[in-house]
Amino acid sequence: MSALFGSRRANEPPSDTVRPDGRPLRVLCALSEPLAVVAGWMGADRTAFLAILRVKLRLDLRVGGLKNPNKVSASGLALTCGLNHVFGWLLALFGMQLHDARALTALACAMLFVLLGMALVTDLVDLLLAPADVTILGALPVSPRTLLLARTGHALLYTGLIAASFASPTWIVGAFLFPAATWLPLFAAAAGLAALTTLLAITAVFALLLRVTHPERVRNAVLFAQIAASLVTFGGYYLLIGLLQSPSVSEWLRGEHMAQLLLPPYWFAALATATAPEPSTLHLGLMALALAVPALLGLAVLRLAGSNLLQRLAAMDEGGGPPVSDRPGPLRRLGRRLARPGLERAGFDLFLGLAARERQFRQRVYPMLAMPVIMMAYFGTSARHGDGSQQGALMCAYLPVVYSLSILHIIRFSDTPAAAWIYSVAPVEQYGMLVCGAVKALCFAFLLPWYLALYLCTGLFFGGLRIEDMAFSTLSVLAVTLWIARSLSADALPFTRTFRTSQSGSNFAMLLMVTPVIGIMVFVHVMLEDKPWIVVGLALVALVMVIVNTRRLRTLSLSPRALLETA
Amino acid sequence: MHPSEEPGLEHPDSVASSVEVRGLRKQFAGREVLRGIDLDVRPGQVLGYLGANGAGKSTTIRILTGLLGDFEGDVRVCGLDVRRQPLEVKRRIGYVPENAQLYDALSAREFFELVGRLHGLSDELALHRAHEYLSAFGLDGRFGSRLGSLSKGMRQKILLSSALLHAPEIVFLDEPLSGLDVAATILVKTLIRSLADRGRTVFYCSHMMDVVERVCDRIAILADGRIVANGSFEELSAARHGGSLEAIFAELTGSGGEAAAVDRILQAMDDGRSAAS
Repeated sequence: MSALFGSRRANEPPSDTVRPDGRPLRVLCALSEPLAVVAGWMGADRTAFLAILRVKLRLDLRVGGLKNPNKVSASGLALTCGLNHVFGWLLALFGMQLHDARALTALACAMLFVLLGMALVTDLVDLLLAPADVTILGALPVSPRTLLLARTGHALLYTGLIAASFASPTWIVGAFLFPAATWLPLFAAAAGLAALTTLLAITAVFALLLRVTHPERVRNAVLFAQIAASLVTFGGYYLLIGLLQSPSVSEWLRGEHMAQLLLPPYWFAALATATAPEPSTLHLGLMALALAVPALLGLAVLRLAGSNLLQRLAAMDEGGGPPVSDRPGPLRRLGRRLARPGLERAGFDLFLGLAARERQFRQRVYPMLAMPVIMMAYFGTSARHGDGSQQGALMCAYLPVVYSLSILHIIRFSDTPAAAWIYSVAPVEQYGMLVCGAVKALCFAFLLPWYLALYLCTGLFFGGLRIEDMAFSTLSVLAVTLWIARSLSADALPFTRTFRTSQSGSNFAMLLMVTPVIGIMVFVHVMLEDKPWIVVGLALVALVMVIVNTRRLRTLSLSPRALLETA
Repeated sequence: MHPSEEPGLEHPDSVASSVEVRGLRKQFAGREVLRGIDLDVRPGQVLGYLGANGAGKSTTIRILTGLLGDFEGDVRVCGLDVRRQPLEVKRRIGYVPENAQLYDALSAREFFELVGRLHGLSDELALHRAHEYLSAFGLDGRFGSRLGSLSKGMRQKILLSSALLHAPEIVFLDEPLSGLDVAATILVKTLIRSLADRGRTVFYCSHMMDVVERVCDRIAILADGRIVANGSFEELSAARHGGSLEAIFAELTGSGGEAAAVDRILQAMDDGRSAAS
C-alpha cells in the first residue's frame, strides 16, 4: 500500500526525502479538481480549497519520515473499502432474488445510509470535526466557507470511495437484471445522491450543534449526538434485517405506500427507476425529495457553519474540561484491585483516565455503547417471537469480542501521542505489564457492565443461561480479548500512536465481518446443548487460555522500533 | 569536600565521569549528524552544551538518555554502557526534553503517579515529592488540573518536576527555561547550581548564553557535528583573548553576520512589494 501511495518501499530505511506522490494519491488529488469547481460555485476560494484539500490527502496517505517511521499508510482505508466491497457483493447476491429494481435500490441505499452513517459518526468523524488544523489555518486568510467546504470535500472523497466500493456490486448485478442503459446511470446517480445526503445530514447536525451549544459544552453535545446517531444507524441495520425476514413486511416494501415518503431509501429508489412508464404521483414526489433534500441540506450546512467555524472548532479543544477529582470513586478503587501495584496499575489508571477524557477515544468508542442496547433489544425481541432464546443469549454473550477488538484497536491512538515519550525515558523493562493493566481496565469498564446487564437480562428476555454456558462464553471472550491485545500491542503501547484517517480500520465494517464468525461460535456452542460436560471441559480449557494469555501479555516485549514514534 | 561526597548521593568509586563519550558518531539517512564526539562530565558538574540549530545537541542528549540507538562510539552514563544497560541508565537519569508533550487529558496528579510507577516509586513518595515540587513552583493549587488546561510555562514546571521525581544522579535539560516566568527562571537557575553542589550532574542544553555563562562549570560548543571548544568559561575566554560567551560562540560556529542577513530579508520584502505594485 505504501508503494501505491508513493512512499517507502518494503525494507527501505526511512528517509527525510519526500518521494513524488504515487498514482492513487495523484488520482485522489485530481478528483479534488472538479470538487474545487463546485466549491467555487458555492462561494469558496478555489485556490485555497485545492491547497487545503491536497495537503489533507497527503497528510492522510503519505507514510512517515525519519521522525515518525511508524506512521502507516492507507491500509485502513483500503481495508474499509475492501470489506465494504465484500459486503456489497453479499447484498447484491441477496438482492438478485428481489427481481425488482426499486426494492433493490432501496435496500442498497438503506445499507449505504447505515454504513456511511456509522463510518462518519465514528471512524471518519475527524474529517468534519478535528480541531487539529485550526491552529495552522487560524492565522491565515482562509474564509470559513472555504474551510468548511474543504472539510466537506475531504469527507466526500472518502465517503465516495466507501460508497463506490459498497454499491458497485449492486450496480454490476443490476446491469444483468434490468435494462443496462437506464440502470447504470440512474443507479449511480441514486447511490451517489444517497451518499451525499448522508454526509450532508451528519455535517448539518454537527454544524447545528457547534452553532447552538455553548463552547464549553460542545464536546459533550457532539458526543451525545454521535451516540444517538449510532443508535439510529446501528438500530436501523438490525431493524432492516429483522424486517427483511418477515414475508409480509417484504411484500409491503415492494409496494407503493405514502409512508415511504418518510423513508429516505425510497426517495433514491424512485430516482433509480425514473424511466418507469406512467410514474405515479407518489413516485414523482419521492423523486422530488431525492433531489430537493440534498440541496436543502447543503444550504443548511452553508448557513449553519458558513461563519465562525474556526472559532467554534477551536472551542472544542479549549478549556481542557473540568478539574479531575483527587480521589477516585469507590467503583474505580474497587476495580484497581484487579491490577497489581506498580506498572500494571499504571496501565490500569492510564486507560481509565484517558478513556474517560480523550476526545478521539470518546468520539470513536462511546458511539459503540449503543451496540449492547441494540443487540440485546434485537435478540431479546427475536427470542420472544421465536424459539431461538438460547442462540440470542449466546450471540449477546459472544459479541463483546467485537467490542474488545474495536477498543483494543483504538486505544493505541491518542490525542497527544507525543506524550508517550515518557515510556522511552523511563526504566520500563516489562511493557507488557502496562498493556495488561490497560486490558484489565478495559474488561472492568466495558466488558463487565455488558455481562452484568446480559446476565440480568437473560432471565427477563431469554429464559436464562446455564452456568456452564455463561462460564464458557465469558472465558472464551476473555481469552480472545487477551490474545487480540497481545497481537495488537506487539508494535504499539496504549495511547502512543497518532490517529490517521487513512488507517481508521473501519470499526463498523470489521463488526459486520466478525459477526458471522461469532455466529459460527454460537452455532458450535448450541450444538453442545445436550452435552454439558463437554461445555464444562471447554470452559476449563478457556480458563487455562485466559491464564496463559495473561502471563504472555505481562511478559510481552516491545520491539525497539515500536517506541520510535514516541522517542 | 568534593560535591560528590555530599550526603544523600553516593557515586561508585570506579565512576570517574558521570558522562563519558568516546568517538560518538551518528548518521540520519546517510547524513552524518555527529562526527566523532569526545566528552567527559564529572560528578557534580554542570555542563553547558551549546550549538546552533541542527548542530546535533538534542541528538547527543537522546543518545545519552538511551532514546536513540544505532550509533558508533562508546557512551557511558554513570559508568554504565548506554547501549547494553539502557534501563540501568534510565533509572539514574532525569530528562526534560525540548518540546515535550504531555497527556492533555490527565491531571497533574495522575501524570506524577504514572511517572512514579514507571520509575518504581511508591505512590505515596511520588505524590509527596510532586506536591513539594509543585508548591515550590507556585502550582500547589493545580494538582487536579488537566494538563491540557495549563499554560506552556506551567507545563514546563510539570516536566521539570517529573524529571526530578526519582531524585536522579544526572539531569539532562534540553532548553528547560523555555516558557518559564521570571521567578521560575531564577528558581531553576538556582536549582541547577544547587543540584550540582549536592553532587548531582547536570547536562544543560541551551541557547541562552548569559545563563550558561553564569550557571555552568564547563561549556562544550558543538559545530558541524564536532566539539569545537570544551572548557570553563574562563578558559574559553582566555583562549579567545576575552569577550562574552555569545561572541566566542559566534566566532567558533561562524554564526555571525546578522546585519547582512537582516539586510537580505528586508531587501526580499521590498522586492516582493515592488513586484506586487
